[in-house]
Amino acid sequence: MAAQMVEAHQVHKYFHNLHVLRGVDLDVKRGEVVVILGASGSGKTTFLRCINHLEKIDGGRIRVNGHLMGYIERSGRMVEQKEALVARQRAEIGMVFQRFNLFPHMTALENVIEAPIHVKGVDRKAAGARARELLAKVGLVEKADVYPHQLSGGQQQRVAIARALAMDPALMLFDEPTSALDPELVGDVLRAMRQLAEEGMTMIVVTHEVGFAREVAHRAVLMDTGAILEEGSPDEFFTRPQHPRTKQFLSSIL
Amino acid sequence: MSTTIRPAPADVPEPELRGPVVERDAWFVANIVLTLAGLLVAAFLVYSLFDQEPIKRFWLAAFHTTFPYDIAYLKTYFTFPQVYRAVQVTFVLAILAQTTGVVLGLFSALGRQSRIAVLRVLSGLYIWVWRGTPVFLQLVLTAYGVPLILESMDAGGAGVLTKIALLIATSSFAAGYVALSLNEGAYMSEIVRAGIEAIDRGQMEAAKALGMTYGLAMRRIVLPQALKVILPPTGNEFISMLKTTSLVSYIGLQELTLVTLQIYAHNFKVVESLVAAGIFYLAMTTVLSLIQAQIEIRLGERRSEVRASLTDNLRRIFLGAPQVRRPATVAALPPKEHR
Ligand SMILES: Nc1ncnc2c1ncn2[C@@H]1O[C@H](COP(=O)(O)OP(=O)(O)OP(=O)(O)O)[C@@H](O)[C@H]1O
Ligand SMILES: [Mg+2]
Repeated sequence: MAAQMVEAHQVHKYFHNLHVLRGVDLDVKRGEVVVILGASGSGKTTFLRCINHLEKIDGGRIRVNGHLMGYIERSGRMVEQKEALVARQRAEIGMVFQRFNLFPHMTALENVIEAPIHVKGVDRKAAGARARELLAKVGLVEKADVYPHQLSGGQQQRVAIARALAMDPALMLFDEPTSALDPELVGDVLRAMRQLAEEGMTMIVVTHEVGFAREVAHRAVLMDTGAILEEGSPDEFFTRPQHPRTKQFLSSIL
Repeated sequence: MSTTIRPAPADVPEPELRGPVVERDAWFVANIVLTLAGLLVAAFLVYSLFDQEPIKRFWLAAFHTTFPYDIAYLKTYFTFPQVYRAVQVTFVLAILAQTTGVVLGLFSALGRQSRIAVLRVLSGLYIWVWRGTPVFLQLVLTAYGVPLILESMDAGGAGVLTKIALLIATSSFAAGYVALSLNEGAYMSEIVRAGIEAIDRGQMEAAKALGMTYGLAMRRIVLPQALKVILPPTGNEFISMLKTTSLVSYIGLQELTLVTLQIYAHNFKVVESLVAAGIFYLAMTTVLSLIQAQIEIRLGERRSEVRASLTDNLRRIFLGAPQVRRPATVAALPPKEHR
């Protein structure tokens, strides 16, 4: 077991000519909760997507749980892994999206059991029992047989969290999980995430919820134009930011 | 947390709109049966009107000739056993060719967005050629040209190619099936592609993030959703296919059109026979339109609309579909080309 859950080293990413990630370095320890902040377009989403290889990277290395993510190194060259192997790697990383992305043709319960059954080969009964546990955990057992369109945004996002957890991931990625929600629905989602953090889940969370970051995160980092500009304990980060860009950014969201 | 005060959160789920399945299925069938009964009554009224003396007198007054058509013959036409055999052939061919076309369309649509360049090129070529040439030409080439080609490839032997050549050369049904399937596949390909593209990319991403491979995600997540977009135009394709089968008469298949030609060659009732065949085609396409309308309404999922009335159905048939709320993606499908 590697001590570091995520090791990102000098990650570069281009979209055509647009240099979106310019050497991102970030290590995340097992059980650590890291919050990423940064202005729109700074590359936060892209970086998260690189971690589970939804995007290829153009330079650097990303290791998750000690294994190179999405590539194998062959005589110094990075060769992309076979699809099935990448899929297996992704199965260990949960991801929660800004826009939930629940499967609309399935009930909440079916959303949660889908991957355990079809990816991991868990039998339907066991998957169902576990799914109900997870739905209970996010406060939604009574919604198990309801379709996503019948749920509020906050409820949908909590189902999405349960869906990701059903794969027993070693790492959870959250991309602005509450920014598409009405303010009064944010609390329930943050509560579920806080509980997860308290249980020792390793989490990387892109969010501008300062309250959550201060209370739950172990570390806060600022991403700016494709690189990490400043990092520190949430206390330090929010009360005594060093870099002028950090100060400027924090004053814009506080 | 924000301190905004807002009205009650949107926590209240929408009321359950779906009724019990059994009831819906009963409505589905009852609706079609009722509409058909209505149409039959209407047809009978029109028919007896034409059989009346007033029509004949009107014709005489207007055109100064006796009414030359034998309306009662319509009844006779519908008693010919070969007509029913022909209808059967027409239907079976249409169903087989359409089904195969859907499968071909699915694979060529997936092939077109494949990561493997050869598959992309092959699918693209297939769609380009088969959509860009007349289906009639394709049919004749399949029936008369392909056997020659296959035979010449299989010099002198009794190999597989010769067997296929023989089958196509001797069975106009086989030739028609092959030609119509391939043609349909090229059109279905575009429909399937539009269906897949209508599904939010976030669905594929969420599936992949859960550890699904592309194939599994397509099968379990994207295609089931795309089906809602694909199904309505596929219904149109099937109705169109039923009519296109009449071309296969040219290569000698005993389907409704050819049988009708044979009937009037025998009894010289050219106009009456053709009109009767037209009525038969119309009846078949009407039934299919009705079923399709019901399926479309059910996809819309509003139960109140499932109870579309008899008059709704008739209006739909004669005046076109009402402007019901449909997914925007259906409207975004490319218009069907003339064939
Ligand atoms: N698929 C893509 N193709 C081309 N450019 C892209 C693509 N995805 C992102 N970009 C660009 O990359 C840059 C970084 O985008 P990214 O979504 O990572 O930013 P972000 O920090 O998550 O911003 P936000 O806070 O608005 O979510 C932006 O300039 C964006 O326009
Ligand atoms: Mg983003």
